[in-house]
Amino acid sequence: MSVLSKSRRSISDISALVRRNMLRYVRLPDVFALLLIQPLMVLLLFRYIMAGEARLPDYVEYLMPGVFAMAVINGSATIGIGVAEDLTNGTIDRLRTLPIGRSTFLAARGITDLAKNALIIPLVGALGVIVGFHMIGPASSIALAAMLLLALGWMFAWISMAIALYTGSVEATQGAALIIILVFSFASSGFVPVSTMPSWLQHIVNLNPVTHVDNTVRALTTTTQGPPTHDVLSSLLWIAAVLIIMLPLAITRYTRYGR
Amino acid sequence: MSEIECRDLRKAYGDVRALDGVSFRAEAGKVLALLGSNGSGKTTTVRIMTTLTAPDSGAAQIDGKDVVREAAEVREVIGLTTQETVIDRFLTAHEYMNLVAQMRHMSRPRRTQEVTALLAEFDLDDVANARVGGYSGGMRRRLDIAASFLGRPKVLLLDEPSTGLDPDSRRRLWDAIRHRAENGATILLTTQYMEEADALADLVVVLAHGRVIATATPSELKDDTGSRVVELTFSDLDNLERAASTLATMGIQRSSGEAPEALSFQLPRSGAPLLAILQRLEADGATAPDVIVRRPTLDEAFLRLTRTVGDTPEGEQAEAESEVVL
Repeated sequence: MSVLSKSRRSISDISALVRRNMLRYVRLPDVFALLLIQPLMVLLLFRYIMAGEARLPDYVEYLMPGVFAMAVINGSATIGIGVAEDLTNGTIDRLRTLPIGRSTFLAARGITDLAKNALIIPLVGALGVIVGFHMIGPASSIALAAMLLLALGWMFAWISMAIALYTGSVEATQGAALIIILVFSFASSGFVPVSTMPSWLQHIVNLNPVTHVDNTVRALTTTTQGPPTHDVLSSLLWIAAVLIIMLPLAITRYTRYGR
Repeated sequence: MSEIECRDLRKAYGDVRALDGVSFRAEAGKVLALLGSNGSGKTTTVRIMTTLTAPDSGAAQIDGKDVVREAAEVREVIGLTTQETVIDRFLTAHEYMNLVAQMRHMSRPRRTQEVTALLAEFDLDDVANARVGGYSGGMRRRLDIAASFLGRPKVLLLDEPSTGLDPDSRRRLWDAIRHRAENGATILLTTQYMEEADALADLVVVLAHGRVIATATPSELKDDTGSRVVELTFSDLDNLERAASTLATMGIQRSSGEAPEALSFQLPRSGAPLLAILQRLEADGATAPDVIVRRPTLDEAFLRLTRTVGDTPEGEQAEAESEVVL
């Protein structure tokens, strides 16, 4: 079979599985709604209850990049739960006996994650606007911010899928997702400036890729000056490095699972 | 050339030997039934044949392709029904069948034609556009089996396919399996129902503790395992008790699973002939009005085989097959 035919087959297989994954959100809308509720709660809590503590004049402008990041992390870090379910209920075994590529299932999950976050980001943005968020960055900057958030989500999706494949357990993946969401979202510059934290914590928070994504998205959406180069580079390097490690780890484990 | 062949397959999970030198082969168009108690190695064998698990040693081939080295080619020609029904409940039967058909790379016209035909064959055409979540267990099972038939695979691996099916659906499944075999498909079937293996299999392979303990046709297995089974029916329980006691003194063991007023035993190959046994019973005042002599059922043959090697079968009892009535 030629490379072209193989590529066509792969695209067709992946699109069939992406359709299956997206239909789950359409047919079971509560699953999708739950992904929005957590960032919405955080947005409302921080916007109206914690705003005074932050001592920032335009706290909602500061807060929203953190909520965006949390929304995509929430959506992506839980994608492994679906993978673990598919592992335990035999769906993956069934797929692995079909004449499809070894990475088709994971690629479809990854693309589903991108599509899901592409829906979540504007919905969270709309919620932000309702509570007073103003995006003043140019459209191109806002598009770049959205793309960076998608890349951040993709990074966490592959971490989550690797956890699911190595633990083979829905409960373990769920527990790991919660830790990821809490640690990476809150130990970042998403909700309060890093300078307000204890110095020992600042070192940790500055290592968190979410901090750099938060800073970049904040600069892209709420200023017209463009983001700091350091944050852009750090964000991209972190995401690339994690993907370089996680993609082969997840695919290798998937291929050898149960053998 | 054999469509399914495995030679000296071995597989261990830690200290547990799941397979310990399993070999068998099936020619094109034949149904091979793999029988064994729970944990005897049936599912591990199916997992190896479907490329899901690699053997520690030995070799297995499907359609002449090695299941480890040529796994991608093997997946092109197999259809699998697993023990557990695997279907997304949020999809309709039509969507699920199309999803599997698409991943079997069937052309759109062929996909439409086969999906429609299979849904009708498995009596699911009326509910094809309803979500699977609303189906009964039997309907989901039928859909799962129908999906494994998509693309007309050369080799079908059916791991306990009739579990959860009602008697009518089971008979229809048997027809469907026979039809595929008649059209050249080779079928590896595992089942807990001996009646099913008896009805479908050209060849039976019995596994116990990961080893093949018998390979024969169902008929050979029934003939080879032991002699005839004698069933005595008594008009009252006193006679039955007397007969049981007499048989015990003759060293003849009663069979299990008999009716309350009946007593059955395997006629010993050596020892007292049937006539002598009946005369002894009559002398002891335990005359049985009805005496039936028949071949052992596959169930009885299976139980006898697996007990010989100390295995504990959990298969369901098959109906007795009367052959000779005295």
